[in-house]
Amino acid sequence: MKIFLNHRSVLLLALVMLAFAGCEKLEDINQNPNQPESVTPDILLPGVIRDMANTQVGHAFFIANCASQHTAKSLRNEVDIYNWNSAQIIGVEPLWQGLYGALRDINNIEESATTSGDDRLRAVSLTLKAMAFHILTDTYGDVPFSQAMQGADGIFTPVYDDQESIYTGADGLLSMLDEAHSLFESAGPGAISGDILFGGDSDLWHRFANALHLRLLLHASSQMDVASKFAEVAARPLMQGNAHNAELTYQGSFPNEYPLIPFKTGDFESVRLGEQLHQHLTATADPRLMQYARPTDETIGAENEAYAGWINGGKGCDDSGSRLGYAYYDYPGHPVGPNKAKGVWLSYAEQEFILAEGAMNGWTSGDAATHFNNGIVASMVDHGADPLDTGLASVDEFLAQPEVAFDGTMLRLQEQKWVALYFHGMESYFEVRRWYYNAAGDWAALPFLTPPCNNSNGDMLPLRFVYPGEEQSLNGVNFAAAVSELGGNDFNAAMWLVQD
Amino acid sequence: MFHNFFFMINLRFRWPEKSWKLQFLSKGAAVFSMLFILLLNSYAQNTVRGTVQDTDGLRLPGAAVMVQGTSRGTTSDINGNFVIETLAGDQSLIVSFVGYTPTTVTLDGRSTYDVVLKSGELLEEVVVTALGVKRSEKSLGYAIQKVDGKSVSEVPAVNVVNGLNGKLAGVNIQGAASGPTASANITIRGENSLSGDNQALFVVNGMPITNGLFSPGDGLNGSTTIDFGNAAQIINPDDIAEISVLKGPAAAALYGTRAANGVILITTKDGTGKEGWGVTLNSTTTLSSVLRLPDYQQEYGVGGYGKYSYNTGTTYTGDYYDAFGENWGPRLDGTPINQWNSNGERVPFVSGGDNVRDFFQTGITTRNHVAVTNQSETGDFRMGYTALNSRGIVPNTDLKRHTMSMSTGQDIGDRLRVRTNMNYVRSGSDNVPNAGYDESSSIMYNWIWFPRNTPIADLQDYWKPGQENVQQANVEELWTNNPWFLVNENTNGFQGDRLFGNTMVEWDWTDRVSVRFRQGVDINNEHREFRRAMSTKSVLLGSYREDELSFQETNSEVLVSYDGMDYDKDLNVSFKVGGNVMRQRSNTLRANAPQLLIPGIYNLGNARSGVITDQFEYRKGINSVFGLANISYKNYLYIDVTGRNDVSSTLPSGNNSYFYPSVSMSAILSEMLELDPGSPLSFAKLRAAYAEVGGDTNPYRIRNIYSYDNAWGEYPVAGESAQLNNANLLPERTTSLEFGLDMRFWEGRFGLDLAWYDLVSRDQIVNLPLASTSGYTSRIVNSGEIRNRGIELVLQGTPVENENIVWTSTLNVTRNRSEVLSLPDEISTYQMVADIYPNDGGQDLSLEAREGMPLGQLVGLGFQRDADGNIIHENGLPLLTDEKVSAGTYQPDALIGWNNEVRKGRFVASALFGAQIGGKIYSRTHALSATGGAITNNDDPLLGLSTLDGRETYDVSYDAEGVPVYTAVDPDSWGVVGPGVMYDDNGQLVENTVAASTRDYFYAYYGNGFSRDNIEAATYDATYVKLRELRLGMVLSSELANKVGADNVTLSIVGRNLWLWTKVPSIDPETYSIRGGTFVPGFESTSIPSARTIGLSLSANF
Repeated sequence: MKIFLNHRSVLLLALVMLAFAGCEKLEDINQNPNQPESVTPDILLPGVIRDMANTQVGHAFFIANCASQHTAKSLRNEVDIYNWNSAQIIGVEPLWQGLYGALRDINNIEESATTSGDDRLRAVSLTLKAMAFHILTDTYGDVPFSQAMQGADGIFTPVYDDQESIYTGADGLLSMLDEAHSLFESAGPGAISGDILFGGDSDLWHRFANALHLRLLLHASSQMDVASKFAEVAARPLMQGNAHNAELTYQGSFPNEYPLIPFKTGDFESVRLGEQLHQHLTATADPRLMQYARPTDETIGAENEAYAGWINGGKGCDDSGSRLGYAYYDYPGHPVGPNKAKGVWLSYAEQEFILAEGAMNGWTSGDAATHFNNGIVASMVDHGADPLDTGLASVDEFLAQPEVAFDGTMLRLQEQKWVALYFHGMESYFEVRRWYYNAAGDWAALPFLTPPCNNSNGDMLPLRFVYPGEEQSLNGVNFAAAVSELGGNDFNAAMWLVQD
Repeated sequence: MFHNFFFMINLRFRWPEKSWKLQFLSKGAAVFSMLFILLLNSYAQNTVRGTVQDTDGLRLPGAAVMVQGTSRGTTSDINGNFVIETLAGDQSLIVSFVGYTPTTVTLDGRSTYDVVLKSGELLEEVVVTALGVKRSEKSLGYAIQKVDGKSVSEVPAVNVVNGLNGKLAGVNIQGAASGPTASANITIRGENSLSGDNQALFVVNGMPITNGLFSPGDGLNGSTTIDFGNAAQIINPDDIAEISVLKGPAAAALYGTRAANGVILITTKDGTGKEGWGVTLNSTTTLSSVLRLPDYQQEYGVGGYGKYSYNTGTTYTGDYYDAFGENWGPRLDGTPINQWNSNGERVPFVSGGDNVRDFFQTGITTRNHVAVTNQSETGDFRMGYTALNSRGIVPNTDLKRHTMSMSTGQDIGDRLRVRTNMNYVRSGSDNVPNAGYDESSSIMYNWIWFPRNTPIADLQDYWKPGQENVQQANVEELWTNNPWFLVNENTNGFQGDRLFGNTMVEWDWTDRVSVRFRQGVDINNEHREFRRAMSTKSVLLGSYREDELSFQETNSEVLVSYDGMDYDKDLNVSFKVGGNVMRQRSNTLRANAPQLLIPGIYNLGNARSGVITDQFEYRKGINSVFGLANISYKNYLYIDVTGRNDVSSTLPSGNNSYFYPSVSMSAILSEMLELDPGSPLSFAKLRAAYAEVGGDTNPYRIRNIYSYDNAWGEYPVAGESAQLNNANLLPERTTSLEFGLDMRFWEGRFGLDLAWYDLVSRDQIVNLPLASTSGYTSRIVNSGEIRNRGIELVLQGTPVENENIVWTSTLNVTRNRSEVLSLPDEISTYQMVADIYPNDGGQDLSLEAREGMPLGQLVGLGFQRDADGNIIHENGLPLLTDEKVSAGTYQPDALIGWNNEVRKGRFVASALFGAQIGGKIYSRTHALSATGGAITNNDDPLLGLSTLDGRETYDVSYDAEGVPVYTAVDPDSWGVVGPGVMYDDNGQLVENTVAASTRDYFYAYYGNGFSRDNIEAATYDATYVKLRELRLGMVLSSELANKVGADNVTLSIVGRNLWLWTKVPSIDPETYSIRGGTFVPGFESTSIPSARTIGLSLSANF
């Protein structure tokens, strides 16, 4: 074995050196060149806002509008007929995943704002957080809240918090919005970078946070005395008009266009103007009819364009239900609406109806009729509705009609708020549910609605959505506890908001 | 058909010895007729003539031909021909040749004898093992199976992996039916990874090459079903000399991590073997047609609940049902009805014939190959060129592939050798068909809804007049696209350049010590473009996307060998040590114009709004050192010990270095026991092996990251990834134990090879799903344990062997079970593929790993059943479970390949049968087609109802305004009563007697409404038998071959996938889906029909 230690070993060594020469260090190879490990919050904020807006538009279209009988599905009508275990959501991220997903970056924004001491941004993140959790808990009931979003800290299976504590707890939604208000107030108006909802104006965020606060108090009002808190919040800065609407103005092209536009024609057109809304708008000569819907296919472009509604749950009754308005879809061969729909979170119109109800209940000393009329006018203007379309000279003439004019009844308020909540995320369903609960499940108390024909739930409005299947398999123990608390993962189970 | 061949050989060859001219004029068919006539002629009678060849048809020059019992004899000439004078009384000839078993030929008065000699060195077979080391098969302690290059080139498959199907025990190959570029899924000894990547490693001439799918993320519009093919499919069968399959980790430990799934070792041809110059020509032309289509019904047309009349193409209920999109309409009995192209006229409503089959065309594949070789004293050289041109059975789909291969070796002095192998492949297609549930380019989606009453030719002018490039013409306006529009306008094209090869320098330092350096490279660059024309449903404004993909891997390897073999000693030890540096880089760039400005212009500049781009770069490196020792004792006991240490870039430092050993033993029992020479057992070997393999993971899984999203105008957007990465990852571990027995009888005439193995993978690096309430949807962890256990059996034999006929037969039987031993505590079930068919609503179908059960459960909703298993009905419709259930695993009980070859003189016939026993497949094609009323459902083994039963039927007339008026016909006979039970008024289960509308029944049967989420309804026993390959070949007599200057000419009829037996309805069960860049076995969705292929092949050696 004297082969080693001769001059040839030099050659061998050289060969080996050659093979390993020029090699980068392995650690460097695994440096991700594609994606950063941290970013500034102004890059996170637009994504959060877009995601939350898209989720709300998608759920208004597929779920809330049908559940509240604004629209009716002519195909796949599981929502309409209360077969909510197999409700179809096509091409839209499910609410659960969508909002918990958005909360990941809302938390990142909050963390960053806390670290940098940016109170305005922190208040924005609290407002977003309250909004996201509000939709989640109002949809499902008890949801993971206090332990949620802590996967990075090793909490992979968060417990469910009961809805009452989510609303009213020390760190609950109402406190969150109080804190946001104080932060906005102490910091004073200023710029929010990356804000595509309000163009960076923290003052508008402040107003939105307060309006949202009022909405939540209203939702909780069946279970707790909200009078003084409502008055307190109503005295804070609020939205002053449509310019203050919390709504995302979409851009003209994919992927920032109105989220319904990429749908297949058939899928978009399977949602029709609901017969209940059609009747109500017709009976009140409401020009929003021409904005909410298109004329029937047979009469489109004809001299006497006609509108028709589809009965919720009806199948094969009549196929001439109007498609939704030009603002909501866009394809060659059809006129494009000038007033493209926006991704509405909470509008000035809704705020005015909330204030009207507060005044009617004596929570504030405001004038209910004024707020009521403000709400209608704002909604008309926002949708570009023209009273001339229904033969009325002006909005005032519309308001003066006996079927419309404020008469001090809750029903009148509900009718007009209902019309205004078209495409307001899940809110139209939340409100219909509250009214239905307040009426002790008596449809007759809500004559603008009717139990859907052929519904599979014994004419009972479902009170919640069932938890998604992933919780059962991925957070099983906590899921089971929540289900047992609720008395079953059942869409008829009552959450705190609508509990007797 | 012969045109290509003559185009190829209508050339002049300049021969070193003699110059000759080969000038076939183009009347190919006439020449072939002449050849046949010449062939059938008899020869002169005075002497005995013959040829000597081996079992592969290779002519043997210099073979001894002796008259038995005499000293009279001769030898065969350079072409294997012999001439010998025989005398009266001579009984027989003995023909012998070095390395072959002598054969006795009885003289029976014939004048010509074609003698086939069998290789006599069966027991000393040499195989290529890890690191490209050639070893005697008997010394190996692990299972290795060899396939000769011819067996993949004689009946060539476009995808070379499919050419291996059925020829190897323990190897599961599923060819797909997704067009000319279709991928093939190849797994060896089962699936051991939860993350879904179980593909065998491909090694060509000692260096790994990628077999990736390169379908990064989801494809266009959520579709991953445009199959551009597995990357190893481009290996050219004409260039393959030999394929060895290293089945277990023991055989593969030296290739590292990636070899845990087994290795396909491919050695390409070089210039050795024939002194001087040689030329090989090969030409194959095959025709393909659809093997199997669903059983489409011809009795009812488009519409719903018995009604249809065309109005605007946009209504799906009420009076018209003209966009119902299903075939639940009126009878096809000639009733006058308004139709989509009748301009408001009422025309007879009749069947559109076999419109789906009529759409498909005859596929044509031509493959022309030429190779030039040269061998001299000091070196050899081979250059090959192959042109493949394939037209798919789907109109306007194709594949073109050019392969250049080069191998050259040179001896420099006595001690230094160099060799370079290079392969360059250029492939491309103007359109790769989409085989998915995607209306934007999949014609298979179309057939589910396509009106049975529409002749396919009626749609051939697919633009509305005057609206070319803007508005397609179709039978309805809401849901589907015109199939001709799809294949001609919405194309998915690609151009790919692939270069792989290596250079090797080998230096004999001393007689015992040698040093080898190899540098290998594999480069794959691909450009893809996706066009979607305006008016495409869901892409109304059209779109255009370009993808640029590049992949590069380099391997630098040093190996020092010490050969301690000393024939005088009983105990010998040899060893090798080496090192390898592997670097991988892959880049992806996608640019998408989601809406077009000007119709018909497919350019990123024609974007209506901004172009959306995304880009990704992956890099990975592994540094390795390894060693191997071979110990042999007395030529009958062999022990191998290996060890390898990898350092991977993808694991956190501290955990990124891992060592794994293997030990294997081979004992030649027949030598140890000193068998009696007359014993029928001529050889027996026992193998045993234990091995470990460590594994790493994908890059960038250590730290959490933010990913970019589409910008909002001028606002850039990013968000934290929903995947929680892990800074404490450990390497994966696989351990395997295997035993094998190899026995041969009667001098190798019959052989049996049995292997048993047990392979456990633990600490798998998986992307474990998390509840989204945790803030993340998944996290990367080490977790899960999977065991693969199986048996492989190879039986080979020569049942008939005489001077006239030799029949050889090989049977490969594989039985493997992958079982999930454990999953992480948080989960009881791991969704390997969570939502197989996204965006269809309802409960998702998924492929799952469940603890204690076989891997790969097909999961979805099931039927509610009574204690006897009867389906429970309510209101006449079947009830589904609320909870998800499993319909079983896709894993087959057994896979069988049976190859037979019969030779008689110059003729050869071979047939390869393949079978799968057991295993499940979910057919979404069937579920969708049945709910759409397009098929009869008569072939469904699970449901004894036809879609033709009990349909609503009406007489149709029109009122004065042209509105259709329907009069019910015999409504008492409407509806079907589902087989099963129902609850009576007392809550007792009784036989179901309630009739339901046929359409409603089928919808409820396959799932909740449109979601088809019932896994049980369309999951079938995937058992099938196939005639995979057939070849009828004829070697031209040497006289005739010599007349065209050739040494050897073979003409064959070849066929693939010719016959199928199965009880699975509607589809060829040998298929899978692709999601997220990995294969999803057990699920079929709107797959393109597999093709039956038959053609003619001609090969010649000069």
